[in-house]
Amino acid sequence: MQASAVIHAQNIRKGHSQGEKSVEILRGIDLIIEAGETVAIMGPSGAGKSTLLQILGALNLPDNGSVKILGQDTTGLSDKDLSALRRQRLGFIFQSFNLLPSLTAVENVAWPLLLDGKKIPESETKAKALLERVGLAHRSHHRPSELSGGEQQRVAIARALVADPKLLFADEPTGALDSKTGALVLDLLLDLKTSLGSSLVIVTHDHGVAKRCDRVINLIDGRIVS
Amino acid sequence: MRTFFLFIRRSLSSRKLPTAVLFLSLTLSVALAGVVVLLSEATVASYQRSVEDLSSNTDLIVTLDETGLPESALDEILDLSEVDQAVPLIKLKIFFRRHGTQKKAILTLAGIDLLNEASVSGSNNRRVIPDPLEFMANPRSLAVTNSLGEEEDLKVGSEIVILTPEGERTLSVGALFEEKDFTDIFGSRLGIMDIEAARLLFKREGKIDQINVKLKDKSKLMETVGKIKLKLGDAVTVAPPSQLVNNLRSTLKPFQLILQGMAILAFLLVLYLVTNLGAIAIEERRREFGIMRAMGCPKLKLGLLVGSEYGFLAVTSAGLGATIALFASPYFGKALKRILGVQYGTSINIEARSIDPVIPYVIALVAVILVLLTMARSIFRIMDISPTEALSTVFESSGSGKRPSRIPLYLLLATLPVLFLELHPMFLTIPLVVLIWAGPYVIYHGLVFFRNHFPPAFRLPADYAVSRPDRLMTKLRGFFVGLLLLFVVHLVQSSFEMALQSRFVNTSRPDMFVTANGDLTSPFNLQPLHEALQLELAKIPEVTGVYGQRITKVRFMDKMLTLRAFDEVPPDNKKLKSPYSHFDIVDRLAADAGHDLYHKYPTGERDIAVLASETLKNLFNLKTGDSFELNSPKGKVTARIVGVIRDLSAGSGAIYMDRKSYKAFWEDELVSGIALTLTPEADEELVKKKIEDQFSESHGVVVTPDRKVRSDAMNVVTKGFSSLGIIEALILFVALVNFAATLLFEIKGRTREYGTLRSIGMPKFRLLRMVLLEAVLLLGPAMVLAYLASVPLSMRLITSGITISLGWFIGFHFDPWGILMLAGVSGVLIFLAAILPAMKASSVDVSEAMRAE
Repeated sequence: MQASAVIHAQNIRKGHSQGEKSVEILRGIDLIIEAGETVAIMGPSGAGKSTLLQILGALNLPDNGSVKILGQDTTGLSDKDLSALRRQRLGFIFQSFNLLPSLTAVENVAWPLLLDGKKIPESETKAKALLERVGLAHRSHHRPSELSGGEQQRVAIARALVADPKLLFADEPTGALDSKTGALVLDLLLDLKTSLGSSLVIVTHDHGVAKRCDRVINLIDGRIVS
Repeated sequence: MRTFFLFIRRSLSSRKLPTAVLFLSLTLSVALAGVVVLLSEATVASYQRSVEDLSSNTDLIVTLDETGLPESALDEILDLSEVDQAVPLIKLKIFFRRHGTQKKAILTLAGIDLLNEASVSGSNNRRVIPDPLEFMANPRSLAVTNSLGEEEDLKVGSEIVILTPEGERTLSVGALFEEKDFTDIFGSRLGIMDIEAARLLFKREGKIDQINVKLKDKSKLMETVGKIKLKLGDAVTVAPPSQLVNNLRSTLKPFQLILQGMAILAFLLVLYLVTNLGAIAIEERRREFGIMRAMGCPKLKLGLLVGSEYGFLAVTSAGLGATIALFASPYFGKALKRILGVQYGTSINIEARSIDPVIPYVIALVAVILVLLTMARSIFRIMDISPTEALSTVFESSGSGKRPSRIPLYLLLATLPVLFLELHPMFLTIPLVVLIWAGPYVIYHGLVFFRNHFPPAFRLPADYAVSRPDRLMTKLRGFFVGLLLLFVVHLVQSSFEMALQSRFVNTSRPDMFVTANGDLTSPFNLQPLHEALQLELAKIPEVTGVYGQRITKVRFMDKMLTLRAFDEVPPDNKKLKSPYSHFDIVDRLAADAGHDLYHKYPTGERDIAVLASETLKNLFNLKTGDSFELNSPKGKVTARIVGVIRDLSAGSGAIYMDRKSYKAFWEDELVSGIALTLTPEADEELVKKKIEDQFSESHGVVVTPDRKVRSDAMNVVTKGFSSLGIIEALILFVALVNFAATLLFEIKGRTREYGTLRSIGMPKFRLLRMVLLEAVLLLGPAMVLAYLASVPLSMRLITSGITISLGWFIGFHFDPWGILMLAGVSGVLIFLAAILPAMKASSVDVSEAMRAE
């Protein structure tokens, strides 16, 4: 593994069963992502983009092959270690925002720190600072149902950044937003990512989004074609 | 810890309805269980405390059933060198009314040796009656408890009219006293008078009901017991006061069993609700838990978070329920005291100090543990949720699409025959459990099998119903088990009612009854009349037959049996061939058994023929032809069982005998009631008026026509079973909540599908109809299956389960119309509960539903 690589995936294979048949979704993926790099993963529906993102983000494990995230081989890690890795060093942004409906904006942002055993005042102070950076300080005590789509996604970005992650993963982050809001959200995400010096992996269908990335990986039928 | 509280607070407050339903159900069930157990224990504890108080003055209590000891017994006990003091007393329950009013009330009257009974005449500060000598100067005065005085507006100097075997007599209240020490044991409705005055009034000359014995310091208790028995014979009961507690315990056992059974059933239903709402919560919050996992929440921490949420809910609701139980029990205690007084003639003060505050909190702790154990499966399933759930874009994909197994069907087929085999009733639990478990599987596979044959209107709802097997099973469990329990409870209730009805209604009976109080349905010892009244009644021209009956208690193997003794009916009385013809004789021909008592088995020197109740037969493993020994004032007597009868009123069993034999051995000339038969042309109302005019003043009698007895009996039966109505309502409530909650959740999950259907042109009304038809498709089979399953289940429960638990034999009564009506009402209610979710489904905003999540 190269010294500056944050992800080093070798020959990743992943399948799942559909009834009595077994379908292979990823068919031998080799991939290296450098520190600070922004990578877009594109491809048609069913190409395996989300499955690849799950594996690169330690949400899922490959059937074959190995993935090293920030130097740690995920295939050998326990659930506890994988959880700690996600909590402390990775950040996720989802297409449908995935905020916890019962928590307020500030509590949602602070939640990863609270899960990590940090005190509530300390966590909420950091969460408030991030909400201010995404322009939502005035909405910090609102619940997700009281926020617009764009606002929810900005809260989700703040949540992804709260633990100062080295790696960010975004699954169609602008997919559920109108083009104007989507563009604003993308600007914000890239700005924050740059200021933190993190790497970013984005799954997207939007060529406009892909153009703003350092590198684009095209996936077809579970294989990287370019 | 604060993170946990933050999660719990936010999580519970964001789901107000399920939280409120769970909280309320748990609170109520713990409160109900708490009150039941608390009062059950407090009743015995209060009695025990009273007995312990009494023990400071009394080492032994000597009694001889309800007929009393001969007066000579006192001297014989006093002759023993071990005895320091022996105090006689007379005790009986009497009806009275305030002078100038007609309202009747009941009190326990104790005739006491006012000079020698230590608790009454002890040191000045413990004295019940300030000056016994002055009090005794007026033989018509009695002292009553303060609470009786308050309840009945009695003051010193008030006059009360009491009914005695010789008619009405007036007494005056000479003193009011606090309930303590000796008085505790008889309850708050107590009157005390001089023993000699009481004997005269109640025709108890030469009799003593109880002797309290105080031993000398170095006397050995058991040795003295032996000596007293040697002197007075084996018939007497000589026991330390603590023995009384055991007697009370056995008397109250059936009552406690029924109450505890109700509380357990209510709690089980709530646990069922918890399980189902827990299962729904997993489905509903699957994505939320997936997000938590994606954010780095480890499995164990997620389990702890969710567990602490339900734990917090359980702790707070159970704690509140326990506190409610603690504060409510004194109020319920008063009601219980009334019930015990009427049902068992046991007037016990349930004191606040006997209510153990720890008990309801122990119940609450058990409830919390049970709730957490019930939720354990759901929590483990939550811990297994993958972090990839967070990435799922289609909400519905999270549910399990696994088809339910067919194994329960085969198991059901294999175990059902057990219901129809004559095996030990313990085996009943096998098909019972399998039936409850497999019922929803039968309905699921039935729907899958038949749906292609459904008319088009039903096919789409059927497809929707079976497309999510896990959720369908959750709904079906709610329906099926709820309805099954509902039907079983109803069938058990109707069988009990019919059994009691047949005892009171479907038998030949005399035309009217003469008693001292008009109450023929109470099982406790009625205030008796003297048999001499029978001769007076026989002089009335319209009266063709006068038959006395005595109801009392007799001890047999540490249990108090009910003894019912009846006068012989001559064969020429066409209306009432035999008094036994109106009993439900199950082991012999009624006529044969009735006549056997008088003619085929005449009373011998030392033996009598008796009919035994089924309860007695079952509890003591006796049968027709067997003999057993009873103790009478004349010594041991052998009772030969010549028939078995059905009598559900006596928990420990009953024996029926000829009153001539009873009088010969028990030396008792009192009767509890007198049955009359009239000439065919007699006007019942006229005869009733004639008797009341002639004897009410002198004997205080009440004449009750047979039809009134029957209607009173049915009222008692109906009131007795009214509590089961609460259980039925609770079951229905749980079924409704389960159904509505599951369906509402389903609607939420199907928003996109309903939006699609609306977007391709399905009108609102058809969407509403489709959801309602889906409810009907589930409800119909669940109801039919529960209906069919409830019959064999309740049949075996009644014919075997109740026999084992209570010793009662009750025939199964199938009430098709009652249960159909119940099914109809539940069906309509559940259908109505489906309307709200259906309306929500039909009002789905198409554009909103089709929007990407």
